Amino acid sequence: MKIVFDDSRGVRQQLDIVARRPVQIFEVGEQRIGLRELDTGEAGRVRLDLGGRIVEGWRWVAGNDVYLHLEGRHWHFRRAGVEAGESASGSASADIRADMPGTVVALHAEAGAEVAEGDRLLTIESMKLQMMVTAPRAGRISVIHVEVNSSFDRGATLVSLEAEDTDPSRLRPDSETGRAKAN
Amino acid sequence: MAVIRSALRTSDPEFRTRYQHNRSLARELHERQQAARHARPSRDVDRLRSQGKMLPRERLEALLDPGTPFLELSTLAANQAYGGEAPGASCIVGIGIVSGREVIIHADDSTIKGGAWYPLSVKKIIRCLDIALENHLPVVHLCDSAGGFLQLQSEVFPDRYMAGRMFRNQSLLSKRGIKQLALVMGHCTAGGAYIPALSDYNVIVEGTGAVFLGGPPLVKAATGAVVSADALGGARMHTQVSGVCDWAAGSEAEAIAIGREIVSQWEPTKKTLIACEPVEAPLYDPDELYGIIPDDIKKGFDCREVIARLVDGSRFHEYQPDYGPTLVCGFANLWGYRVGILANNGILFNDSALKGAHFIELCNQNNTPMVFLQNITGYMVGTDYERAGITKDGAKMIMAQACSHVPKFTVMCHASFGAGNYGMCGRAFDSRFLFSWPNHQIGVMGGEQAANTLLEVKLRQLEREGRPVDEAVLRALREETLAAYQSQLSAWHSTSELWDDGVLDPVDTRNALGMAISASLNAPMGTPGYGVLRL
Amino acid sequence: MPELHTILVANRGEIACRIIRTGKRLGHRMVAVYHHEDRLAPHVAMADQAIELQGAVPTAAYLDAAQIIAVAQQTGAVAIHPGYGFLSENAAFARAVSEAGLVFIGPDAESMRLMGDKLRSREFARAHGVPVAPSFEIEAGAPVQSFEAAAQAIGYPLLIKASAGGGGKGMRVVHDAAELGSAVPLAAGEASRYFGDGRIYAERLVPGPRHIEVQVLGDGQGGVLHLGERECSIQRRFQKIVEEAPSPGLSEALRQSIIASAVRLASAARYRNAGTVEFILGSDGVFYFLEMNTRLQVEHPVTECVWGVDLVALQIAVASGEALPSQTSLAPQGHAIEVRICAEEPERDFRPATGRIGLLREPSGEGVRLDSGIREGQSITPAFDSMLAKLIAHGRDREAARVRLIHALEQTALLGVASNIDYLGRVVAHPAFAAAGLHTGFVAEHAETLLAEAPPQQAALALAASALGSRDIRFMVHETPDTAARIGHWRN
Repeated sequence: MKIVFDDSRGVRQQLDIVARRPVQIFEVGEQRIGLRELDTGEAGRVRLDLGGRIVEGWRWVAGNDVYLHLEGRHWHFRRAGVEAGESASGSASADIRADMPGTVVALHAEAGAEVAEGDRLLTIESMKLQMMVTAPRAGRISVIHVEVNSSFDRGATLVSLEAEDTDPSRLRPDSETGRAKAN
Repeated sequence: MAVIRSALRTSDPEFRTRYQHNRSLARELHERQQAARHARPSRDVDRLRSQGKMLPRERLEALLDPGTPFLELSTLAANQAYGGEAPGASCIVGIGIVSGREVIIHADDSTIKGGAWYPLSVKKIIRCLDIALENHLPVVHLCDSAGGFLQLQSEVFPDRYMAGRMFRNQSLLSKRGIKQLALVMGHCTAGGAYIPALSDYNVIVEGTGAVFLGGPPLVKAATGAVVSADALGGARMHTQVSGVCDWAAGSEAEAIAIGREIVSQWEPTKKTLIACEPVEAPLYDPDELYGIIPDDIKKGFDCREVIARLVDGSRFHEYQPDYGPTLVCGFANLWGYRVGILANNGILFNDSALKGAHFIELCNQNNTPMVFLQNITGYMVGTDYERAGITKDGAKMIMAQACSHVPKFTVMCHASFGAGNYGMCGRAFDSRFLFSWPNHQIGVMGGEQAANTLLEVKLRQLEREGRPVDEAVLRALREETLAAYQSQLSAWHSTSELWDDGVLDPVDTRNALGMAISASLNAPMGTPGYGVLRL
Repeated sequence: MPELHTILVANRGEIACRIIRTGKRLGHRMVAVYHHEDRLAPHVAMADQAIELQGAVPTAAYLDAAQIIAVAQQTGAVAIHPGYGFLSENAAFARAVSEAGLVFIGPDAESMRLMGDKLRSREFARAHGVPVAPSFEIEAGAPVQSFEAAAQAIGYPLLIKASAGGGGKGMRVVHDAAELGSAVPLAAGEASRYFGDGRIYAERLVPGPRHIEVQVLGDGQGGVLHLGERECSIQRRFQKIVEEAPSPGLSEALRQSIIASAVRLASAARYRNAGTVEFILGSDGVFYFLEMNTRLQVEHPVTECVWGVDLVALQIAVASGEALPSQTSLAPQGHAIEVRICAEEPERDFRPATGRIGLLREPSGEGVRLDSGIREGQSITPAFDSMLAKLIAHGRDREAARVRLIHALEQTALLGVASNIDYLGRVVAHPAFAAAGLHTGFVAEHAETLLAEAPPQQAALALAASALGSRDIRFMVHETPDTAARIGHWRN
């Protein structure tokens, strides 16, 4: 795989690992860097041994963004390429189903309403426990299949959201990667 | 440890002839491998692209860590079978590094008949899983196969070491705590469905991945129902309804990223500790190997010259240097690992067989892995030797070698004829990895010898029947026998049949052995002990 | 107990923190106000009491005069300090505060109105012997022919400014007569939109201009204390980014002349409390009155460092009815330079940056002062102005202060939001800045060198060091078994 970052100007850089032991040697384009990261015991603090010359700085990671302060200068890089953890899209019509049998206690939205992710849709009761059913994503409610006091079985559809427009950018149209064929 | 003193003179005409010969053999190896790996009809590549799939080797490179080695095994499997229509036996197997972990990878090559499993494909995958079992290597499957090649089903399905053995191996891997991950990037049909199902973790790609015991054509034939592959066994159904698959990925790249994340979560293996020292490159240039290896199977070479170009610092601590000179034994470091080396310098005699057996015992006593560099045409024959017990001396060497609990590695450097193959840890003796050089030949006896023997037999027959001897017919018979034999003897043939784990360019041997030894240390060594040595 | 026992600070960010700090030091009870988006801001925690303001848009909350006054009354505040920006120069607010029986810490509404109107203030200045750049008012909708001659008399290039404008906004350069016709209606439209007042005037554009301003404090009866001048010539798009005191390379005669003009103006206006008189000085040695800001300025710390005073304390003292210190009791010492640290991306044309402050390491040391309105964990949103903090260095002379400032900037680490810290370092380190070659076109003139990229070797090191912060990359580097790590990339 390739380690790829975008720098603060949006220019894509590839980091190659040329050697790992006893020192790490990296290559960025035509530049070759040999270093050994030393333990600092302090969160955020960075200490590097560049073949005898020690440099210190600060580093902070937030998701795909890395911020660095080294040798009196600020840097920001953003990891590019597909990352694990991006969940598979549920972009087609989302049917919200019951995980167990029960009854409807209250409705909090109506058909046609625009809801945001996490908005309350209905309160259900099952096995003496009341639970709140919320919207898994933003969208418009197309149908509410149940009414107050109605009973339902496990797997029954409670609420249907309208299908989302498939956003092509979510399927990462990169010629390097494999694309899921829309079925 | 003393440095081997090389007597090689690179200016010698013999060196130059051998060098040219072996360089061109190496070139031939690379060309054959290049073709086996990449030459595909464009319609097959286009088909994959139109399905939005990555090519199998693209998937592999995306899976492997940057700046790491990949040891591909049996690239030329099936190169002499099935009319050449299944290069690599339609799958890729190799050892590489994923998220910092040593794993063995099996990837179906869907650019070849949709990744269908030929008999040799099944053999190659079983070999992959056997390696995983013996070396405790986690497995990553990149599944994209049309299933068993129906036309050859009798060689794929019923027997003990056929398709079922893959699933038996998978189960035992899991039992022993050796993890498996499957990335479903295409269809896993019928038996093939068990690969992700028997893997501890699996990821399925939306749209192109599918797992089903019976595919749409079978379902239609059986019940008349028409259902799409995705509806029958696609990502959404298996991750949301059936639970057969663990993660759904929106693309192959995403599946690989999820896979890498999964591998990074596996606990690091505690490697078996053996004696280890800082690494040194060989003092002599490995390139000179081309000039050492003979250009004729009947010619010999000094195996110490080969050892000198494989081991760290070209240092070698020879064992019993003055006894049994036709078997060179000694200790050396290879990529830092202490190993015991056994290498042939001629045929085996009583003393060399005894020396070999004792050396093998020393290696086992010291938990030292062994490397066998084979170049053997047989044992000495004749009355004196039989009376001296060469048969039981050969048996002692075989017994010691076969009962060894340390990992063994074999390189077929030149000839491997007859019983000599056994003592020197041939395929049947479970070396963890066995590699061949392009010049290697293997058979019950050499080609010339076989042709001559068969000719002798024919002559005797004609004599008994009182028929005349036609010189021309005899010559033709000899040529025919030789030709048939040669094709069966060659390294291309043996690698095609998976009698080895791949043909190596001699200069790649050091790296291949280094990776092999490193991989083998993921498993604990067995328990020491031998059977009865016929003394 | 001080007379103004409880003071409400009607502001946010670094200035709110700074006012609260002085207020508490002097024994006042300090009340902060904040919008919900600012609830984690440092000024909220620093105050003795903090009240949340309601506002649809965050800035609207800090502009809600009625709400702020109501909060003051509700919390028992007897005075309001408006800081800078927001309501600080809003005459109606000043009037409403005093009508509510509270003390407004600043000038009275009349001064604000006078000085807030650019045309009136210029007229006032001229009437009191303060030099004013030749200019003429442009009637709304007047045809270009009616003022062509006047424009010619001023000379090109000239500057069109909004009468109700300020802070560098609503200004336009006209290079020649041909541009005049199109520039005027555009400027008038802008002035209307931004300031609600379409009146514009044209003014001579001064050559190689330097922005020089004088800090004054008035007692409201014509008595004026001055605290010397500041130089604010390093600007980008009319926004100050580097300020210093005193002005380098001014002859004593010129300095005194400028200061005297400022004092004369403030005295004539019977100005009360703190204010700043701004001038523009041409390379020909001629200076003109620009405007007077009837509030505490952003760059006041450099004056404080050099004159050894606390201007907020002086503001409170004047508002409490105390007498101003005598001019002779104060003398400047040394030199101070300030830079404004903003959340912006210099490489992307200084567009405002947002994000969360993940890590903040502040500089320290002798002669280093950081007026900050941020803390680790705070979210920087587009809701507010992009200035995060001011870094000031004081030294026995300009070079000492400059070197100290460069070191302090290098020491400052702000991770999680893009900022102009490195850019400011390059400005202050620039040889032209070291040589005090200052003029308002400095940034434009040296734009290329100031945005120069780092050497590729340094950038590569930064990328490698950054990458090692990712877990998966650390795995790839450190977990790889020894033999594979030593072999490196290899295929058979």
